[in-house]
Amino acid sequence: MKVAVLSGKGGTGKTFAATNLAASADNGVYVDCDVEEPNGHLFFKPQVEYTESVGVLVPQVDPQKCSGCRKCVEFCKFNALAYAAHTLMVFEEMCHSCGGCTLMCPTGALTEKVRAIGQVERGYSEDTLVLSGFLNPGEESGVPIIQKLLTMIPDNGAVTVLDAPPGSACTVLETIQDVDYCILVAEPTVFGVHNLAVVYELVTLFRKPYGVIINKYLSQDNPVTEFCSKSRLNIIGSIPFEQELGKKLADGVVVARHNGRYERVFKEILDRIDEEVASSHEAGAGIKR
Amino acid sequence: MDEEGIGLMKIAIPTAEKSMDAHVGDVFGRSPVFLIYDIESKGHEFIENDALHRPGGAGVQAAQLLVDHKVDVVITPQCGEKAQEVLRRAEIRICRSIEGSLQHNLQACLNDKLTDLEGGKQ
Repeated sequence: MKVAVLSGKGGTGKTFAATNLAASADNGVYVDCDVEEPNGHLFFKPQVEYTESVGVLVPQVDPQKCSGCRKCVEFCKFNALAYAAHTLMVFEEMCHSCGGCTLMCPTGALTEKVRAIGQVERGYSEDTLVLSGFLNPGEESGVPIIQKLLTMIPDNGAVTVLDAPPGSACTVLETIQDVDYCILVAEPTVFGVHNLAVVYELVTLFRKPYGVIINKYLSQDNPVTEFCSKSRLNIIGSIPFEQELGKKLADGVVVARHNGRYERVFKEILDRIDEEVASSHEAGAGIKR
Repeated sequence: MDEEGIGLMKIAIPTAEKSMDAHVGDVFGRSPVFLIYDIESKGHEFIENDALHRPGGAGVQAAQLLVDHKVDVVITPQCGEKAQEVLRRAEIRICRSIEGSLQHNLQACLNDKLTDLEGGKQ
């Protein structure tokens, strides 16, 4: 079972929920797809056993072969190429790796080379498999790193929790495309409703089964609960607003591993998701997105 | 530039309107129009900048446009790093624009009253 944890903005508790859910499962898998700000590893502190650089293809020029025809410059819709003073200039960071310029080049002056944009890591934290992606600062898109991470998920049916980037950008679409279920983490405020609506729209667009976790929950009388009951969103769990939790988080502790009460909260959420995924598979047999 | 006109043929300035009385535009890459002034013939033309609507890389494309028009000097309030790289490769001088019209800036350039635009943005 693959579950993605989403939220409309950063800081609502995605990593908190995702790390604790993965830790509450037996031999769970945690995948940090928030490659711009990966911080699940700060809680799991995994023993890293494998790292791999992730790169994208960009053109490189052989000036001896370049005839200055500029077919590549005209072709590139992203203006990653320019021709000035009889020199073909490549702006690697603007390249979208389509490879079109190398196809257009009539003299074979353009070939592709790999440009590193970040890396992935695999390691264990107790019985949890931790997969993390790291995008180098200043890079435009973490999608290639997320794609690499997804190939590293073992195909053994383990409970796999994907910690998605905040918001609803391409990186989030990439993260959720093959998951069985989406958890939407929200704070019980007016602002929280707005952020929840962003990811709610996304998961309904993708026709993914989903449920809401309200983080920093104080009472039933809050804008998110109201929004959920009005728009018929399923609330699958609430994390109480407690000082103790805040302290543990600040210490980088996976609370479910040290506190039976929190472990039960997360195990119950996992059980609920398991049931919902099973029933949606039955109901949705033959209906793929 | 201390000796008038030597090695200096064409000046380009970003602008929003096709008039010599118009002000210098605020941006470089996404400027809708560039004035191109020929010092020798004293003629000028306004060229449209297609890069305006590009999702990305407008600066590089606009710089390419000016390189292709064989411009020697660009007068602009700002210019992105990559655009500057293209312009400088073509040995185009980049001057910081001053308050006032295109005409006023051209005159200031011809009188060598403009300073070079340093570094990246702004």
